Amino acid sequence: MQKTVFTGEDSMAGIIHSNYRILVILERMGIKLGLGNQTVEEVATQHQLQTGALLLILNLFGFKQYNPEVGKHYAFIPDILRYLKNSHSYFLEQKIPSIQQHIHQLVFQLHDSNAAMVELCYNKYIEEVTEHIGYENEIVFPYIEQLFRMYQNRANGGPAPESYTIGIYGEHHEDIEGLLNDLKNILIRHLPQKETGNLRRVVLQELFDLESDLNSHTRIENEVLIPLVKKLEQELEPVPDNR
Amino acid sequence: MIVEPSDTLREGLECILTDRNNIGIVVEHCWEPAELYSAFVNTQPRILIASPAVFESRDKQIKSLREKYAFHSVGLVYSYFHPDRLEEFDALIHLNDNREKIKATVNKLLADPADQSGANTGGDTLSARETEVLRLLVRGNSTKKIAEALFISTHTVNAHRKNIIRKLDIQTVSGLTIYAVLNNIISLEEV
Repeated sequence: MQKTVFTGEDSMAGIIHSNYRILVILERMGIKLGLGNQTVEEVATQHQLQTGALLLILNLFGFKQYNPEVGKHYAFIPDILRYLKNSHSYFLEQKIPSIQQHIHQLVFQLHDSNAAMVELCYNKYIEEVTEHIGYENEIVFPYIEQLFRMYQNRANGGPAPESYTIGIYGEHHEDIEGLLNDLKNILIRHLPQKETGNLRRVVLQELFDLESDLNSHTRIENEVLIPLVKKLEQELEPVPDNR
Repeated sequence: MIVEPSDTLREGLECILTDRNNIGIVVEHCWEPAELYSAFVNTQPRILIASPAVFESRDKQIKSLREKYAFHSVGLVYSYFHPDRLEEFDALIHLNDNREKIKATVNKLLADPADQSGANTGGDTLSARETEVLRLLVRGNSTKKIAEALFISTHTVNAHRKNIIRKLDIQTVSGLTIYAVLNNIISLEEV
C-alpha cells in the first residue's frame, strides 16, 4: 500500500529513497548522512531534536495531503525555527544566486536585448524574496524566540508580551509565488527559442525545484508555526487582575 | 461579451456569470451597429450574448461577423420571437431562467472543444484591444486611467485583464512587462 505518512519507526534511509528531496531537510537540521539503519526517532534523539517536529517537517515535505496536527507541542518551536532559518540561508546563499547566474548566461546566449527583461524580472523577484526573508529573520523569528523563552520561564514570572502578535505576521505574509510562476511560463511559452545548449532546461528545473521547496516552506510556516504561536500567545496572555 | 441596452438585464447577467466563474466578461451597452461592430472586433469574444434583434440587424458589418469570426451566439430572449428565428442560435437564455441554468448554458459552450480551435478566438494571441490594454497596464496605468484613455468602463478593462492573464498564463505586472517587451509591445527603455 502507498504510504501516506512517515512515522518514528521508519528508517531514515528508506525515507530518502522514497523522496530524495528530503535530503535538504537533513542538511537544514544538521543531520549528516551515513545513517545506517537508524529510524527517524533514533536520528532525532541522537541530534537532540524533537521526533515530532522532525516528523512534521518530513511529512509536510513528503505528502501533499498531509494535514499536520500541532496540538500544544510548543517544544517543537525551536526545531521548526532552526529548519526555517537554515532554509532561508539556503535560498539566499545557494539556490537563488545559482539561478541568477544561469539566467544571466542564458540571456547572454540569446543575443536579444529584450531578453534582458527576464534578468531584470528575476532581480526584482530576488529583491522581494530578500525583503520577505529579512522581515522574518529580523522581526518575526526573534519575537517567537522571545515568546518561547517567556513560556519556558513562566514559573519565574517573565516580562509581559510586547505589542507585536503573530497576527501581524499573517498580514505581512504576502504572496511572492506569482512572479516565480510567471518566470517559468515565460521561459516555457514566450521567450523565443534562439539559444543553443541546455541552459533554459537547467534554469527551469531550478525554478521548479525552488518553487516546490518554497511551497513546503510556506506550509510549515502557515500550518505549523503560526497555529502553534497563536496558541502560545493565548496561553501567555496576562490574566486580568481581580483586585 | 454581453450586448444589452437594459441596465437591469445587462448587469444582472454579468453578475450571475462572474460569480465564482473564472471568465472575463465584456459588457457593452452600445446599440449603434458601427460601435457594436468595432467593440466586437476589438474584443473577439468567444460568446456573444444579445437579443435576437441584434443578430438580425440589417447592418452589413454585423451580418458579416458570423462569417469572419468563430463565436457562439446566445440569444437573450425576453419578448416573443418566432421559434424559427431562435433556431439559429447556439443557445438561448430566457428571462425566467434561474442562475444555475444560465451558468450551465454558458459553461457548456465554453467547454466546447471546437470553440478553442477558432482562429480568431482561442490560443494565446491577444486581440488589438487586449494589446492596447496591456500596453497601458505595463506602463503603470491604473484600471481607471486605462478606462478613461480607451473610453471604456473599468468593468470592461478588468474583463480584458482577465482575458490577457488567461491567454498568456502570466499574472503579475512584472511578468506581463517581460511579455510586452519580448513582443515589442513596449520598448525596454519605457520600463
